[in-house]
Amino acid sequence: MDYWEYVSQVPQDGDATYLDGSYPGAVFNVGVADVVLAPGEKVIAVAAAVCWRNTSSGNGRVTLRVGGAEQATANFLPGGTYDTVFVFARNSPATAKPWTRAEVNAALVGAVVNTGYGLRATQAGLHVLLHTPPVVPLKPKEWPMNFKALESLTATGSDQAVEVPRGATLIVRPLAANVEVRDVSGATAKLTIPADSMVMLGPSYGQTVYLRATAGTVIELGLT
Amino acid sequence: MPLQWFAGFEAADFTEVVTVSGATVGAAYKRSGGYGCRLTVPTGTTLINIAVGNGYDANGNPTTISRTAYTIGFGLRVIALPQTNGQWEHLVFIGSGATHRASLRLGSDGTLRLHLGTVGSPHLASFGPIQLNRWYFCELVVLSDRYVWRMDGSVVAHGLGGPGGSMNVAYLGKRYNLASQGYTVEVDDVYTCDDATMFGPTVRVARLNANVNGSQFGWTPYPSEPPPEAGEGA
Repeated sequence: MDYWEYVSQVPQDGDATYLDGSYPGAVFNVGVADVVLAPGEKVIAVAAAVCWRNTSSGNGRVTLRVGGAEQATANFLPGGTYDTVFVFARNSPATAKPWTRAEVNAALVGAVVNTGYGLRATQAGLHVLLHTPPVVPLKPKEWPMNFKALESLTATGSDQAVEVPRGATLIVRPLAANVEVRDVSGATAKLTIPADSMVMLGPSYGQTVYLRATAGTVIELGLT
Repeated sequence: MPLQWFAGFEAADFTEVVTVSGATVGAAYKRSGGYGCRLTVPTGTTLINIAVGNGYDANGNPTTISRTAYTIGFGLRVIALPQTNGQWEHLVFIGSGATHRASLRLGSDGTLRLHLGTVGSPHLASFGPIQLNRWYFCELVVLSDRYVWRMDGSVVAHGLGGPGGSMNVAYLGKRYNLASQGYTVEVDDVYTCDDATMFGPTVRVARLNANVNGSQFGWTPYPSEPPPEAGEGA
Protein backbone atom coordinates (compact mmCIF):
# COMPACT_ATOMS: atom_id res chain seq x y z
CA MET A 1 0.00 0.00 0.00
CA ASP A 2 1.08 3.58 -0.59
CA TYR A 3 1.11 5.63 2.56
CA TRP A 4 -1.67 7.90 1.33
CA GLU A 5 -4.01 4.91 1.51
CA TYR A 6 -3.67 4.94 5.28
CA VAL A 7 -5.37 8.33 5.50
CA SER A 8 -7.90 8.17 2.70
CA GLN A 9 -10.90 6.46 4.31
CA VAL A 10 -14.29 8.19 4.63
CA PRO A 11 -15.54 7.90 7.31
CA GLN A 12 -12.24 7.80 9.14
CA ASP A 13 -11.35 4.32 10.36
CA GLY A 14 -9.57 5.19 13.60
CA ASP A 15 -6.71 2.89 14.49
CA ALA A 16 -7.54 0.45 11.70
CA THR A 17 -5.14 2.29 9.39
CA TYR A 18 -3.02 5.30 10.27
CA LEU A 19 0.31 7.02 9.98
CA ASP A 20 2.39 7.36 13.12
CA GLY A 21 4.66 10.35 13.57
CA SER A 22 7.42 8.95 15.66
CA TYR A 23 9.94 11.73 16.23
CA PRO A 24 10.40 15.49 15.99
CA GLY A 25 10.73 16.74 12.47
CA ALA A 26 8.65 13.94 10.98
CA VAL A 27 6.61 15.24 8.05
CA PHE A 28 3.99 13.79 5.78
CA ASN A 29 1.65 15.18 3.22
CA VAL A 30 -0.65 13.73 0.60
CA GLY A 31 -2.16 14.97 -2.60
CA VAL A 32 -5.92 14.97 -3.04
CA ALA A 33 -8.32 14.24 -5.84
CA ASP A 34 -8.77 16.92 -8.48
CA VAL A 35 -11.65 19.28 -7.91
CA VAL A 36 -14.46 18.96 -10.44
CA LEU A 37 -15.95 22.34 -11.23
CA ALA A 38 -19.23 22.99 -12.95
CA PRO A 39 -19.16 25.60 -15.73
CA GLY A 40 -18.45 28.97 -14.20
CA GLU A 41 -17.95 27.54 -10.74
CA LYS A 42 -15.29 29.10 -8.54
CA VAL A 43 -13.42 28.11 -5.40
CA ILE A 44 -14.32 30.38 -2.50
CA ALA A 45 -12.23 28.74 0.21
CA VAL A 46 -10.63 25.48 1.19
CA ALA A 47 -10.06 23.76 4.50
CA ALA A 48 -7.38 21.13 4.82
CA ALA A 49 -8.64 18.49 7.23
CA VAL A 50 -6.52 16.02 9.18
CA CYS A 51 -8.05 13.64 11.69
CA TRP A 52 -5.47 12.70 14.28
CA ARG A 53 -4.85 11.89 17.91
CA ASN A 54 -2.06 11.67 20.41
CA THR A 55 -0.85 8.44 21.95
CA SER A 56 1.97 10.00 23.90
CA SER A 57 3.55 13.43 24.07
CA GLY A 58 3.43 14.48 20.44
CA ASN A 59 3.19 18.15 19.67
CA GLY A 60 2.66 19.14 16.08
CA ARG A 61 0.74 21.03 13.44
CA VAL A 62 -1.49 20.32 10.47
CA THR A 63 -0.36 21.80 7.21
CA LEU A 64 -1.73 22.92 3.87
CA ARG A 65 0.90 23.33 1.22
CA VAL A 66 0.90 24.65 -2.33
CA GLY A 67 4.31 24.38 -3.88
CA GLY A 68 6.79 25.67 -1.36
CA ALA A 69 4.23 27.76 0.51
CA GLU A 70 2.72 26.45 3.72
CA GLN A 71 -0.19 27.49 5.88
CA ALA A 72 -0.62 25.62 9.14
CA THR A 73 -2.25 25.48 12.51
CA ALA A 74 -0.23 26.37 15.53
CA ASN A 75 1.91 23.62 17.02
CA PHE A 76 -0.15 22.06 19.78
CA LEU A 77 -0.69 18.91 21.78
CA PRO A 78 -3.62 16.96 20.29
CA GLY A 79 -5.86 15.02 22.64
CA GLY A 80 -6.01 11.29 23.03
CA THR A 81 -9.14 10.74 20.90
CA TYR A 82 -9.37 11.24 17.19
CA ASP A 83 -10.37 14.73 16.18
CA THR A 84 -10.24 16.59 12.89
CA VAL A 85 -8.55 19.95 12.75
CA PHE A 86 -8.62 22.34 9.82
CA VAL A 87 -6.41 24.77 8.01
CA PHE A 88 -8.91 27.25 6.62
CA ALA A 89 -7.72 29.31 3.67
CA ARG A 90 -9.69 31.81 1.64
CA ASN A 91 -6.63 32.45 -0.47
CA SER A 92 -3.92 30.24 -1.82
CA PRO A 93 -0.86 30.18 0.44
CA ALA A 94 1.27 30.37 -2.67
CA THR A 95 -0.13 33.64 -3.99
CA ALA A 96 -2.27 35.16 -1.23
CA LYS A 97 -4.90 35.48 -3.95
CA PRO A 98 -8.14 33.56 -4.51
CA TRP A 99 -7.64 29.90 -5.27
CA THR A 100 -7.29 28.70 -8.80
CA ARG A 101 -8.31 25.24 -9.87
CA ALA A 102 -4.68 24.32 -10.53
CA GLU A 103 -3.66 25.39 -7.05
CA VAL A 104 -6.41 23.33 -5.44
CA ASN A 105 -5.35 20.34 -7.48
CA ALA A 106 -1.74 20.86 -6.41
CA ALA A 107 -2.55 21.24 -2.72
CA LEU A 108 -0.90 18.90 -0.21
CA VAL A 109 -2.45 18.12 3.15
CA GLY A 110 -0.37 16.77 5.98
CA ALA A 111 1.15 17.15 9.41
CA VAL A 112 4.44 17.82 11.11
CA VAL A 113 5.70 16.51 14.46
CA ASN A 114 7.19 19.44 16.29
CA THR A 115 8.27 17.84 19.55
CA GLY A 116 7.76 14.47 21.17
CA TYR A 117 6.22 11.52 19.39
CA GLY A 118 3.06 9.45 19.14
CA LEU A 119 0.88 11.45 16.75
CA ARG A 120 -1.46 9.26 14.72
CA ALA A 121 -3.13 10.59 11.58
CA THR A 122 -5.96 8.45 10.27
CA GLN A 123 -7.52 10.74 7.68
CA ALA A 124 -6.46 13.62 5.46
CA GLY A 125 -8.42 15.49 2.86
CA LEU A 126 -9.44 18.85 1.57
CA HIS A 127 -12.85 20.47 1.95
CA VAL A 128 -13.73 23.02 -0.70
CA LEU A 129 -16.48 25.62 -0.74
CA LEU A 130 -17.61 26.19 -4.31
CA HIS A 131 -19.88 28.79 -5.80
CA THR A 132 -21.28 29.50 -9.21
CA PRO A 133 -21.81 33.22 -9.61
CA PRO A 134 -25.21 34.00 -11.04
CA VAL A 135 -25.34 34.88 -14.70
CA VAL A 136 -26.22 38.54 -14.93
CA PRO A 137 -28.33 39.26 -18.01
CA LEU A 138 -27.11 42.25 -19.94
CA LYS A 139 -29.64 45.05 -19.86
CA PRO A 140 -29.65 47.78 -22.48
CA LYS A 141 -28.85 51.13 -21.00
CA GLU A 142 -31.23 52.71 -23.51
CA TRP A 143 -33.92 51.29 -25.65
CA PRO A 144 -33.06 50.89 -29.35
CA MET A 145 -33.90 53.89 -31.50
CA ASN A 146 -37.27 53.80 -33.14
CA PHE A 147 -35.93 54.14 -36.64
CA LYS A 148 -38.22 54.62 -39.60
CA ALA A 149 -36.87 54.68 -43.10
CA LEU A 150 -38.56 57.09 -45.50
CA GLU A 151 -38.87 56.98 -49.23
CA SER A 152 -35.77 58.46 -50.84
CA LEU A 153 -36.08 61.93 -52.23
CA THR A 154 -34.86 62.75 -55.76
CA ALA A 155 -33.58 66.30 -55.88
CA THR A 156 -35.08 68.75 -58.37
CA GLY A 157 -32.43 71.44 -58.08
CA SER A 158 -34.66 73.68 -55.95
CA ASP A 159 -35.87 73.67 -52.35
CA GLN A 160 -37.94 70.62 -51.47
CA ALA A 161 -39.95 70.78 -48.25
CA VAL A 162 -39.69 67.95 -45.78
CA GLU A 163 -41.95 67.96 -42.73
CA VAL A 164 -40.35 66.57 -39.60
CA PRO A 165 -42.82 65.49 -36.91
CA ARG A 166 -42.45 67.10 -33.52
CA GLY A 167 -39.90 65.24 -31.42
CA ALA A 168 -38.45 63.33 -34.33
CA THR A 169 -34.96 63.59 -35.75
CA LEU A 170 -34.46 63.65 -39.50
CA ILE A 171 -31.64 61.60 -40.92
CA VAL A 172 -30.32 62.87 -44.23
CA ARG A 173 -27.83 61.07 -46.43
CA PRO A 174 -27.28 62.52 -49.88
CA LEU A 175 -25.75 60.28 -52.49
CA ALA A 176 -23.21 61.63 -54.98
CA ALA A 177 -23.80 65.35 -54.37
CA ASN A 178 -23.98 67.87 -51.54
CA VAL A 179 -27.32 68.91 -50.04
CA GLU A 180 -28.10 72.35 -48.70
CA VAL A 181 -30.43 72.64 -45.73
CA ARG A 182 -32.63 75.67 -45.12
CA ASP A 183 -35.22 76.52 -42.55
CA VAL A 184 -36.84 79.07 -44.84
CA SER A 185 -37.31 78.39 -48.51
CA GLY A 186 -35.03 80.52 -50.66
CA ALA A 187 -33.06 81.84 -47.68
CA THR A 188 -29.38 81.35 -47.05
CA ALA A 189 -28.45 77.72 -46.46
CA LYS A 190 -27.95 76.89 -42.80
CA LEU A 191 -25.99 73.75 -43.51
CA THR A 192 -24.39 71.87 -46.36
CA ILE A 193 -24.27 68.14 -46.03
CA PRO A 194 -21.40 66.62 -48.01
CA ALA A 195 -22.14 63.84 -50.45
CA ASP A 196 -22.17 60.34 -49.03
CA SER A 197 -22.23 61.54 -45.42
CA MET A 198 -25.03 61.33 -42.93
CA VAL A 199 -26.40 64.04 -40.68
CA MET A 200 -29.12 63.95 -38.07
CA LEU A 201 -31.25 67.08 -37.87
CA GLY A 202 -33.31 67.61 -34.77
CA PRO A 203 -35.03 66.78 -32.66
CA SER A 204 -37.69 68.78 -34.37
CA TYR A 205 -40.28 70.97 -32.75
CA GLY A 206 -42.52 70.35 -35.72
CA GLN A 207 -41.04 72.48 -38.42
CA THR A 208 -40.40 72.05 -42.10
CA VAL A 209 -36.89 71.94 -43.51
CA TYR A 210 -35.94 72.58 -47.10
CA LEU A 211 -33.42 70.43 -48.91
CA ARG A 212 -31.78 71.44 -52.16
CA ALA A 213 -29.35 69.53 -54.32
CA THR A 214 -28.38 69.11 -57.94
CA ALA A 215 -31.28 67.71 -59.90
CA GLY A 216 -31.26 63.92 -59.88
CA THR A 217 -29.36 63.57 -56.62
CA VAL A 218 -30.84 60.83 -54.50
CA ILE A 219 -31.27 61.82 -50.86
CA GLU A 220 -31.89 58.99 -48.41
CA LEU A 221 -34.09 59.97 -45.48
CA GLY A 222 -35.11 58.48 -42.20
CA LEU A 223 -36.78 59.45 -38.95
CA THR A 224 -36.01 58.49 -35.39
CA MET B 1 -13.08 39.11 5.95
CA PRO B 2 -16.34 37.67 4.64
CA LEU B 3 -16.43 33.88 4.78
CA GLN B 4 -15.45 32.55 8.19
CA TRP B 5 -16.42 28.90 8.18
CA PHE B 6 -18.20 26.24 6.14
CA ALA B 7 -19.37 22.66 6.47
CA GLY B 8 -20.77 20.03 4.17
CA PHE B 9 -20.55 16.94 6.41
CA GLU B 10 -18.50 15.34 3.64
CA ALA B 11 -16.30 13.40 6.04
CA ALA B 12 -19.46 11.66 7.27
CA ASP B 13 -18.99 13.17 10.72
CA PHE B 14 -19.59 16.34 12.71
CA THR B 15 -16.00 17.44 13.17
CA GLU B 16 -16.70 20.56 11.13
CA VAL B 17 -19.21 21.94 13.62
CA VAL B 18 -18.60 23.29 17.10
CA THR B 19 -21.02 21.07 18.98
CA VAL B 20 -23.62 18.51 18.04
CA SER B 21 -26.57 17.30 20.04
CA GLY B 22 -28.57 14.38 18.69
CA ALA B 23 -28.11 15.12 15.00
CA THR B 24 -27.23 12.43 12.50
CA VAL B 25 -25.17 12.45 9.34
CA GLY B 26 -25.99 10.29 6.36
CA ALA B 27 -25.84 9.93 2.63
CA ALA B 28 -29.63 10.16 2.33
CA TYR B 29 -29.60 13.64 3.84
CA LYS B 30 -27.28 15.24 1.32
CA ARG B 31 -28.02 18.28 -0.77
CA SER B 32 -24.69 17.98 -2.57
CA GLY B 33 -21.64 15.78 -2.27
CA GLY B 34 -21.86 12.53 -0.36
CA TYR B 35 -23.39 13.38 3.02
CA GLY B 36 -25.79 15.71 4.79
CA CYS B 37 -27.18 16.27 8.25
CA ARG B 38 -30.59 15.36 9.65
CA LEU B 39 -32.10 16.96 12.74
CA THR B 40 -34.94 14.88 14.10
CA VAL B 41 -36.50 16.84 16.92
CA PRO B 42 -38.93 14.79 18.98
CA THR B 43 -42.07 16.19 20.53
CA GLY B 44 -41.25 17.42 24.01
CA THR B 45 -38.32 19.33 25.37
CA THR B 46 -35.44 17.33 23.93
CA LEU B 47 -32.97 19.59 22.18
CA ILE B 48 -31.52 18.47 18.86
CA ASN B 49 -29.13 20.85 17.17
CA ILE B 50 -25.73 21.62 15.81
CA ALA B 51 -23.74 24.71 16.71
CA VAL B 52 -22.11 26.13 13.62
CA GLY B 53 -18.76 27.85 13.70
CA ASN B 54 -17.87 31.35 12.64
CA GLY B 55 -14.13 30.94 12.67
CA TYR B 56 -11.28 28.63 13.66
CA ASP B 57 -8.96 28.80 16.60
CA ALA B 58 -5.18 28.63 16.28
CA ASN B 59 -5.28 24.85 16.58
CA GLY B 60 -7.67 24.49 13.65
CA ASN B 61 -10.81 23.77 15.62
CA PRO B 62 -14.08 25.36 14.50
CA THR B 63 -15.05 27.93 17.09
CA THR B 64 -17.43 30.73 17.94
CA ILE B 65 -16.30 34.32 17.94
CA SER B 66 -18.29 37.32 19.05
CA ARG B 67 -19.22 39.50 16.10
CA THR B 68 -21.49 42.42 15.39
CA ALA B 69 -22.46 40.98 12.02
CA TYR B 70 -23.55 37.41 11.44
CA THR B 71 -24.54 35.79 8.19
CA ILE B 72 -25.54 32.18 7.88
CA GLY B 73 -26.47 30.27 4.75
CA PHE B 74 -27.57 26.65 4.52
CA GLY B 75 -29.44 24.17 2.42
CA LEU B 76 -32.72 23.25 4.10
CA ARG B 77 -35.10 20.40 3.46
CA VAL B 78 -38.09 20.06 5.75
CA ILE B 79 -39.28 16.51 6.25
CA ALA B 80 -41.85 16.84 9.03
CA LEU B 81 -43.55 19.85 10.59
CA PRO B 82 -44.49 20.71 14.16
CA GLN B 83 -47.81 19.08 15.02
CA THR B 84 -49.72 21.64 17.04
CA ASN B 85 -51.54 24.31 15.13
CA GLY B 86 -50.26 27.78 15.86
CA GLN B 87 -47.08 26.66 17.60
CA TRP B 88 -43.54 27.45 16.53
CA GLU B 89 -40.09 26.12 17.23
CA HIS B 90 -36.63 27.48 16.58
CA LEU B 91 -35.08 26.28 13.36
CA VAL B 92 -32.18 28.74 13.42
CA PHE B 93 -31.10 30.46 16.62
CA ILE B 94 -28.49 33.21 16.54
CA GLY B 95 -27.49 34.47 19.93
CA SER B 96 -24.97 35.77 22.35
CA GLY B 97 -24.64 32.70 24.48
CA ALA B 98 -28.21 31.88 25.46
CA THR B 99 -29.48 35.37 24.67
CA HIS B 100 -31.68 35.52 21.60
CA ARG B 101 -30.55 37.89 18.87
CA ALA B 102 -32.36 36.54 15.83
CA SER B 103 -34.12 33.36 14.83
CA LEU B 104 -36.06 31.61 12.15
CA ARG B 105 -38.93 29.55 13.49
CA LEU B 106 -40.88 26.77 11.88
CA GLY B 107 -44.63 26.49 12.30
CA SER B 108 -47.12 23.68 11.88
CA ASP B 109 -48.43 25.21 8.66
CA GLY B 110 -44.99 25.06 7.08
CA THR B 111 -44.32 28.75 7.43
CA LEU B 112 -40.97 30.15 8.45
CA ARG B 113 -40.90 33.30 10.54
CA LEU B 114 -38.10 35.74 11.24
CA HIS B 115 -37.68 37.19 14.72
CA LEU B 116 -35.13 39.82 15.65
CA GLY B 117 -34.14 41.19 19.04
CA THR B 118 -35.52 39.75 22.23
CA VAL B 119 -36.88 36.23 22.17
CA GLY B 120 -40.46 37.41 22.59
CA SER B 121 -40.37 39.94 19.81
CA PRO B 122 -43.08 39.57 17.16
CA HIS B 123 -42.05 38.17 13.82
CA LEU B 124 -40.90 40.60 11.18
CA ALA B 125 -41.51 38.46 8.13
CA SER B 126 -42.68 35.05 7.07
CA PHE B 127 -42.09 32.69 4.17
CA GLY B 128 -44.12 29.76 3.01
CA PRO B 129 -45.78 27.46 3.38
CA ILE B 130 -42.75 25.58 2.26
CA GLN B 131 -42.92 22.32 0.38
CA LEU B 132 -41.89 19.22 2.26
CA ASN B 133 -39.00 17.16 0.89
CA ARG B 134 -37.75 20.02 -1.26
CA TRP B 135 -34.34 21.62 -0.87
CA TYR B 136 -34.34 25.35 -0.27
CA PHE B 137 -31.33 27.53 0.33
CA CYS B 138 -31.85 29.85 3.26
CA GLU B 139 -29.67 32.85 4.06
CA LEU B 140 -30.01 35.22 6.96
CA VAL B 141 -27.92 38.34 7.45
CA VAL B 142 -28.08 40.04 10.84
CA LEU B 143 -26.17 43.29 11.04
CA SER B 144 -26.12 45.73 13.92
CA ASP B 145 -28.82 47.86 12.37
CA ARG B 146 -30.50 45.84 9.64
CA TYR B 147 -31.31 42.40 8.39
CA VAL B 148 -31.76 40.50 5.13
CA TRP B 149 -33.48 37.17 4.71
CA ARG B 150 -33.31 35.28 1.42
CA MET B 151 -34.75 31.98 0.29
CA ASP B 152 -33.33 30.43 -2.86
CA GLY B 153 -31.61 33.72 -3.60
CA SER B 154 -34.78 35.82 -3.51
CA VAL B 155 -35.23 38.37 -0.79
CA VAL B 156 -38.01 37.47 1.62
CA ALA B 157 -37.47 40.42 3.89
CA HIS B 158 -35.00 43.16 4.57
CA GLY B 159 -35.17 46.22 6.70
CA LEU B 160 -33.87 48.24 9.57
CA GLY B 161 -33.68 46.61 12.94
CA GLY B 162 -30.95 45.46 15.24
CA PRO B 163 -30.37 42.22 17.10
CA GLY B 164 -29.67 44.11 20.32
CA GLY B 165 -26.01 43.30 20.62
CA SER B 166 -23.18 41.17 19.37
CA MET B 167 -23.61 37.53 18.34
CA ASN B 168 -21.27 34.64 18.94
CA VAL B 169 -23.27 31.46 18.33
CA ALA B 170 -25.72 30.09 15.83
CA TYR B 171 -27.56 26.82 16.04
CA LEU B 172 -29.41 24.85 13.42
CA GLY B 173 -32.23 22.87 14.97
CA LYS B 174 -33.86 23.23 18.34
CA ARG B 175 -31.51 24.76 20.89
CA TYR B 176 -34.10 26.22 23.21
CA ASN B 177 -37.57 24.85 23.63
CA LEU B 178 -40.46 27.12 22.73
CA ALA B 179 -43.57 24.94 22.56
CA SER B 180 -42.46 21.32 22.94
CA GLN B 181 -42.97 20.74 19.23
CA GLY B 182 -41.11 18.19 17.16
CA TYR B 183 -40.02 18.40 13.56
CA THR B 184 -37.52 16.89 11.15
CA VAL B 185 -35.27 18.83 8.83
CA GLU B 186 -32.12 18.19 6.86
CA VAL B 187 -29.35 20.72 6.38
CA ASP B 188 -26.28 20.75 4.19
CA ASP B 189 -23.77 23.15 2.61
CA VAL B 190 -23.61 25.53 5.56
CA TYR B 191 -21.51 28.67 5.70
CA THR B 192 -21.11 31.70 7.93
CA CYS B 193 -19.72 35.14 7.24
CA ASP B 194 -18.95 38.17 9.37
CA ASP B 195 -20.46 40.63 6.95
CA ALA B 196 -23.40 40.72 4.55
CA THR B 197 -21.86 38.36 2.01
CA MET B 198 -24.36 35.86 0.63
CA PHE B 199 -23.43 33.22 -1.90
CA GLY B 200 -26.89 32.05 -2.83
CA PRO B 201 -28.22 28.63 -3.73
CA THR B 202 -25.36 27.69 -6.06
CA VAL B 203 -22.94 27.24 -3.18
CA ARG B 204 -21.82 23.72 -2.28
CA VAL B 205 -19.16 21.90 -0.33
CA ALA B 206 -17.00 19.17 -1.84
CA ARG B 207 -14.44 16.91 -0.24
CA LEU B 208 -11.28 15.89 -2.01
CA ASN B 209 -9.90 12.72 -0.52
CA ALA B 210 -6.26 11.76 -0.33
CA ASN B 211 -5.34 9.87 -3.47
CA VAL B 212 -1.61 10.23 -4.00
CA ASN B 213 1.61 10.38 -2.04
CA GLY B 214 3.18 13.75 -1.41
CA SER B 215 6.29 13.56 0.67
CA GLN B 216 6.91 11.58 3.82
CA PHE B 217 9.59 11.44 6.44
CA GLY B 218 9.24 9.80 9.81
CA TRP B 219 5.57 8.83 9.62
CA THR B 220 5.18 5.06 9.72
CA PRO B 221 2.13 3.35 8.21
CA TYR B 222 0.19 0.97 10.46
CA PRO B 223 -0.67 -1.77 10.25
CA SER B 224 2.50 -2.56 8.40
CA GLU B 225 2.07 -4.71 5.35
CA PRO B 226 2.31 -8.42 6.08
CA PRO B 227 5.65 -9.97 5.17
CA PRO B 228 5.68 -12.25 2.13
CA GLU B 229 4.74 -15.78 2.96
CA ALA B 230 7.54 -18.34 3.09
CA GLY B 231 8.46 -19.59 -0.33
CA GLU B 232 6.78 -16.68 -2.05
CA GLY B 233 8.90 -15.50 -4.91
CA ALA B 234 11.30 -18.41 -4.60
